Amino acid sequence: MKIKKSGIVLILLLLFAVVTPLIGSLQAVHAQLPIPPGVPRGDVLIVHNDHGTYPDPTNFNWLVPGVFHAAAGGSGYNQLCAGILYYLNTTNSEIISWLAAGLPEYSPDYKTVKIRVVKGAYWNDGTPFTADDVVFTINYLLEAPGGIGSVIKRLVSRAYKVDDYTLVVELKIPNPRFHYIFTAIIYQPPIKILPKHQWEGKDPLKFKAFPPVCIGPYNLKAYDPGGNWFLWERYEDWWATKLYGIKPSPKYVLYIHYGTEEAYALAMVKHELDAKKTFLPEYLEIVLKGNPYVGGWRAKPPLAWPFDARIKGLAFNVLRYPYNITEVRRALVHLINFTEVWLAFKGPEGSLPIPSPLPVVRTPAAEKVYYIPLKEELLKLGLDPNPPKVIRDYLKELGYDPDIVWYKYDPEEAERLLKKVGFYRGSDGKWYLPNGTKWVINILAPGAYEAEPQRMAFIVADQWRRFGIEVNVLVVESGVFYSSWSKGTFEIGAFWPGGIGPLLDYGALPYAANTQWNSRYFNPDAPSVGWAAYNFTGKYGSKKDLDEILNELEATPPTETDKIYSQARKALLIWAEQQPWIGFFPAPFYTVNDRYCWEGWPSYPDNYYMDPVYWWAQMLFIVLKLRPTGRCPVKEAVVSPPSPTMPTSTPSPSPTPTPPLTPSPAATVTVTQTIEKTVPTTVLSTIMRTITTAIREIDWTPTIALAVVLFIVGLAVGRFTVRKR
Amino acid sequence: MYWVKKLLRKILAHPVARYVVARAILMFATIFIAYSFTFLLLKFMPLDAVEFIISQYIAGSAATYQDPAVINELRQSLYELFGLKGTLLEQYITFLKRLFTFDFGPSILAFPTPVMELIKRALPWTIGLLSFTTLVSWIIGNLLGVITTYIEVERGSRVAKILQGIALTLRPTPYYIMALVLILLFVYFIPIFPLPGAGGMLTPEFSFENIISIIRRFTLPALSIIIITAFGWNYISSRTLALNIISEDYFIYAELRGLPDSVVLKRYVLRNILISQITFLALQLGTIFSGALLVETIFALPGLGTIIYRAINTGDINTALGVLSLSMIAVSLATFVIDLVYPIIDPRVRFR
Repeated sequence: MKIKKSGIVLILLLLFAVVTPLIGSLQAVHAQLPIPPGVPRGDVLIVHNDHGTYPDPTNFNWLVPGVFHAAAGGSGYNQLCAGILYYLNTTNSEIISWLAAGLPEYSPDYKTVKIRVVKGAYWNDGTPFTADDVVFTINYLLEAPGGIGSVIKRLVSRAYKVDDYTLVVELKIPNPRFHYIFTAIIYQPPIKILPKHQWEGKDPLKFKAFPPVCIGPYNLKAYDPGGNWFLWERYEDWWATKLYGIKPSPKYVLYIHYGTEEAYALAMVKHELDAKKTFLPEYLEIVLKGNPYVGGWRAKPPLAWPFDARIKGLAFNVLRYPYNITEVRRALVHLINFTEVWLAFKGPEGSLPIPSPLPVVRTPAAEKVYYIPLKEELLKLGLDPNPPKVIRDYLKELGYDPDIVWYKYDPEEAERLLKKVGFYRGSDGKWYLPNGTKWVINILAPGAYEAEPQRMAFIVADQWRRFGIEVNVLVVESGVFYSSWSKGTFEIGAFWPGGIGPLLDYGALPYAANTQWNSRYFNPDAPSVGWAAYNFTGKYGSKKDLDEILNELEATPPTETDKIYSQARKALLIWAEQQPWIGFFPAPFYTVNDRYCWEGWPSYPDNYYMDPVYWWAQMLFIVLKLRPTGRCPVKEAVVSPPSPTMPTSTPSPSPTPTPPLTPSPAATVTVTQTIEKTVPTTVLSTIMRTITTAIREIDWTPTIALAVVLFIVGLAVGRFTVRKR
Repeated sequence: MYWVKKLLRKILAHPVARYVVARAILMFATIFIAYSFTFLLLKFMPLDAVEFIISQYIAGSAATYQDPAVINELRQSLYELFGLKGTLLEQYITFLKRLFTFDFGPSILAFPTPVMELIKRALPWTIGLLSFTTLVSWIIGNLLGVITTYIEVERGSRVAKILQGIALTLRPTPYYIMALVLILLFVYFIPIFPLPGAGGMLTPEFSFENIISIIRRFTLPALSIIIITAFGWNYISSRTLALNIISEDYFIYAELRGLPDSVVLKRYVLRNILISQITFLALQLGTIFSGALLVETIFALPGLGTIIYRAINTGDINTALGVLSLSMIAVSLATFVIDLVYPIIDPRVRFR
């Protein structure tokens, strides 16, 4: 048969064509990863690119807000390259001065700020980093067209340099927190420092700033033109290595997007992913089964990070009837069975969220500063006096006050409150508005990846329905949701309004919150939940009182913590009485890491130097602490004793000179370096040892593949010759 | 102008020319109408790119407070930057101009990168993958369908039955499942391919390493598409058509003439099937330009599918219209070409 013969030949040829080049490429041990040939796995730190595929991976212009550029966290730019003056240490709410030499000095009227930058820092192309760069950044943004640099335009009147390492910024309005716009509080700072020599004379609307000029410990080595990964190479002459003796261990850091959650799970099982932003619980289960080295917020399960920056829940549009009635909102709160919501978020390895009745992320610090002091008042406001044992036990185990859980599930109280404002239950068992129409609640929830608020919406809707209220949940694409959320065209939105993340400083509400509280920040074009414009009077204060407290908070420098905490407690009580939104807890984030190749990951409570925020700029400090475990072959990774503690500055009363930096415990050789008169820094000079042991794994795959192909070819040839005869 | 008229009249006197001109006019009309509808649809989407950016900016997860005056300024300048200012009619005219100049302005989702640059980045991958898989699965599916049916009917073969069983199973298999099975098989159990997104660099340059990394990254996605489409629609439809032809009189006559198998297959079965199958192929090739979102997402590949998805999701009308008009033009062109090719394949059309 002619057809058969030619068919076989065709298939064989095709097979040969596909398999041969593959075999040729299979020899390298980790050739599957996009790393330079010959680089062993142990030299590379592989991190999740949470932005996915970049449409244009060469666009490093972050100035135009809201667009998809690579100068953010998904590519690794924020973590490894960007120029950032200050970072927030998420574990203790302290500010780390990085490119700035200590906290800034404010004038007594808080209208001028003197910022000093670190002496001896330079960009990775050798150009010194000076006050000029900061001044240039500010002025460049001041002159930029339209909406670019709007934060700077609102706050700054002018900036000028005093000397190479000092600059002065004159502010339009007094502001003791101006430096927060240079601080990575949540995710990234609003303003990163632009390298003057790269940006000068460039059009902010056209320039792509590629390749990026870095001042972090890495330089961009390669990127995927398809937009999935970015490979960063350690810069051996990094300024901080010279200044402080610190050097990151990984020779390369790869930020990569593996496609779907399934592929990410496989990658972590195969030890080809060291850090993941978060896994959905079902995928975490797969990872845990396949990889015993997985750690998270804690080294051992439960692993979830409970302090994601936003408390998730449901927000009322308080400018809309009937959600503008406090009794209605309070009644709806009492109709929620919190335990049900709480248990729905139990992870496969036992992770559970920390109940947060206040809009404050309940970190151990926040527990002391806000939760415990407000406990008595919260009980008066309806906090469950006898919370379920299962939650109490959990809180006790974590070292939290077990009596602060959530509001009491109390349908009778809800009924009383509703009837008080004229609502009534009809003969059909449903609830009616005072005007006689049926009460229908519409909850808007974001679709796609925002799974948690969506789940909360469905659980709560079910609970309200049980009480006889008609409830619809509308799930929309996140784009539609965001627009509706900002325009305030919803009744109840499932989202994460209002907190300030790991910060305790409530004067920072305008900087860190995504919902405004103070009426002077109300934007009628974007009313959102409407809390800033909502008028009320209550037992704990009225709208006017709240505004006064907030104004005072903003005027109080962040260093006067006692005053800030006491004022903030007043504001929080007013909030709790009004209950403009229902916050349950930050959803547990399975920000897991693989401890097979790298160790030194932060873990609670024993090695809690940072939260596992791999997609935030603060990841820099994790990268600096990692070191090889010895399980993976290394060549150029730095194997060092526990890496040095970063220079950390603790807040001190301003406008006094900048505070001293906390000295770090010395492990080996301690060298004290005075970087600047006012900023003595003790740093650890680490002994770097580069071992060049290239352990070669023998890979049998190519041999097997070759054998299979040869076998098939042989068979075919044999058949042909037999037939011909 | 007289000679122009004369020339036109002369050309149109020829029936083939008349046919071509009529089809061309139809094609342009189709593109115009489709473009206008798409423009309107995108405009009336409940999502506006600028509002989306602003809402992200003031309410997103990493938001800071913004002054309302500044926000309004930002809004105005963004509308201007993105070329979205003016009334609906003015914008429509701007967008029409863009269609003719093939310059779709700046993209919004990756501002300031122009839309054409985004398309240029993604297009080679999309075309490469999808034209290859469409062609290969078309060829494999049709050949297999025809040959196995022929053998089955003529000789009664078990292979054909097995193939049919496979086809019937694969046809309703969700693509997602097939892709995951392949990933699990060839990335995890027999690790010869990299994880999606990993693998070497992807550059459009021609070099040995590049070809290797392209093969590494594209084999599994290509395989997943080919398996589903070759054994799915292509196989089933060609089999059904072949069965019809085999029962035709002219086929029986050919058999009775004692023509060899290969001639009967080639000239009587395959050629008759081609008429409808080429239409299908052409339309399939036309749809390539809208990308393959699912394939791109699962295998973390660059391509037009992801871009159009992102564009629609962020209200980026510039990019969305850019990609969609490409697709419109491609489908219209494909239809036009089929119309021109028909008379060559099918003699019956020539006489119409």
